[in-house]
Amino acid sequence: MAGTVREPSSVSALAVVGTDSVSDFYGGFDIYGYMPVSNWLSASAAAQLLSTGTYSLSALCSPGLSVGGGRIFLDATVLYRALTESAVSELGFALLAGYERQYFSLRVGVCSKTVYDTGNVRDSFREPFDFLYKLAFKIRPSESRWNLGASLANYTPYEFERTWLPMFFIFGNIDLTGRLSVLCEASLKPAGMMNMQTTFGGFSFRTGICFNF
Amino acid sequence: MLLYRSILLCLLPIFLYSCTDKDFAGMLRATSPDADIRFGDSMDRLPPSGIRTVLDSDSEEYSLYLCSDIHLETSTEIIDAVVGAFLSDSSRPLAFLCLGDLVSDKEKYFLLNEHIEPVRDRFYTTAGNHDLFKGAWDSFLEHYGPSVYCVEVHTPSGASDLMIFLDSAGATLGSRQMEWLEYQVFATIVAKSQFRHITVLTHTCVLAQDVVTGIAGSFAQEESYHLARLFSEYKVEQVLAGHLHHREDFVFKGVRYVVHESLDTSGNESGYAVWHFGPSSADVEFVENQNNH
Repeated sequence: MAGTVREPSSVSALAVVGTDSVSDFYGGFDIYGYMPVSNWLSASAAAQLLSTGTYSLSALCSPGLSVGGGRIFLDATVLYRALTESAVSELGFALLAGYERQYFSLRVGVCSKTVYDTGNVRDSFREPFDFLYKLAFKIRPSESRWNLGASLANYTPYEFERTWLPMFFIFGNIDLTGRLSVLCEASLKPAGMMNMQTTFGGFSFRTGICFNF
Repeated sequence: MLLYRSILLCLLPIFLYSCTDKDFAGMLRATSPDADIRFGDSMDRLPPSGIRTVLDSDSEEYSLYLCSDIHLETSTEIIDAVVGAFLSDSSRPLAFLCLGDLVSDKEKYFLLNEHIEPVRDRFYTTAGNHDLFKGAWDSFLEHYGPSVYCVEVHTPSGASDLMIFLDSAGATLGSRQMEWLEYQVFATIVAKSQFRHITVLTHTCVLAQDVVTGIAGSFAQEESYHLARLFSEYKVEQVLAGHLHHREDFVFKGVRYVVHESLDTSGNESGYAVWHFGPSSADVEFVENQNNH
């Protein structure tokens, strides 16, 4: 749900429900803020709290340039995630290069992550290098009053999954008043995809509102 | 290394296309039963305790041979060498363990059985993802029995060690196996006994530092971390895995995570391991294949 420099500042608040390989059901909410800093730079921040005791915070800085009918950009992200039930926390950094047009966007990059024992932060290990990717399509131009789309990615503002664990998303939005719009997103996380024994891994649904300043 | 990995990612479709033993249908839908059904199949072949067997060691110290990712196709030279080393080992190792991916095709189980025949009564394995390809689960079950179980080792002094084999061939334990692990194994067997060493053996790595180099599925992170907490809480000493075709060895939350290289020669490193268990410690000796570069 990241914006482009053409978009105004916004704040989104969403409720989340889902299931994963460890929890039969979880709920929570997340909040996402986006701000254009200049014609070539935008920034955003996101926070998520889940009933599984998983808390995520991320910040993203995205310089970009318009090229032809599209835009090329970099996404530099820092992510902190605490999984309190597992007594584990993660600190990750990511750098992605992207290209975006009216109907699609592609982001590809790398991340590095350190995983800590929250009871003893000296106890840690690193996943020094993973790939991140996101390919998204929309059925209408980005500025449309309503839109639907789909994406394939192994990361969100709230987690960096491992390279070989892609997630599938469908999403939509409808502008209610010019300032207020409704957002929704459903995601499917398969298990065993690159083990070539794909089964259901998890599902989540998020819906909420976005207020444009 | 960055360049190598970038090239690997870009060439992924070609690699997948060129791997004739892969089960491409499995990318969309598993061609063997899912983890819950496989767990049920395994439990049907075990006593209610889940303990498959008890091995009696005639000493307080003993050793176990362990290999992973044999991927047997036509050449049996390497597996013959390991079986030969096992049989000629003067320390008389107690068992021959494998972490899955036994063959490249289910028809090869017969070939593998011929070559492990001398150690067959001491051969314990779990399933790897290749053991599920093209509906291979029924063949695996027929040849090697359950993929989820415990093995106890008893020593002359009355001490016991526990080995827990977990089926992670589908990169998830599934809800039934997870429940069994938490409530039957850890909260019942482990909590009520005093084991010297508790070892978990599985195919897909629960934790690994390099999950990119090989094209290999991973546990979802939330499942990895949930298991890491359980292993730490119940004092598991080491978690042994394969799957990635390279070696890793690190400690997190007091648990040693060892990723074993493949026995086949597809990785940069290949070989097997000899684990030595004693009254107070367990350690590993890695043995490289003689034809390694």
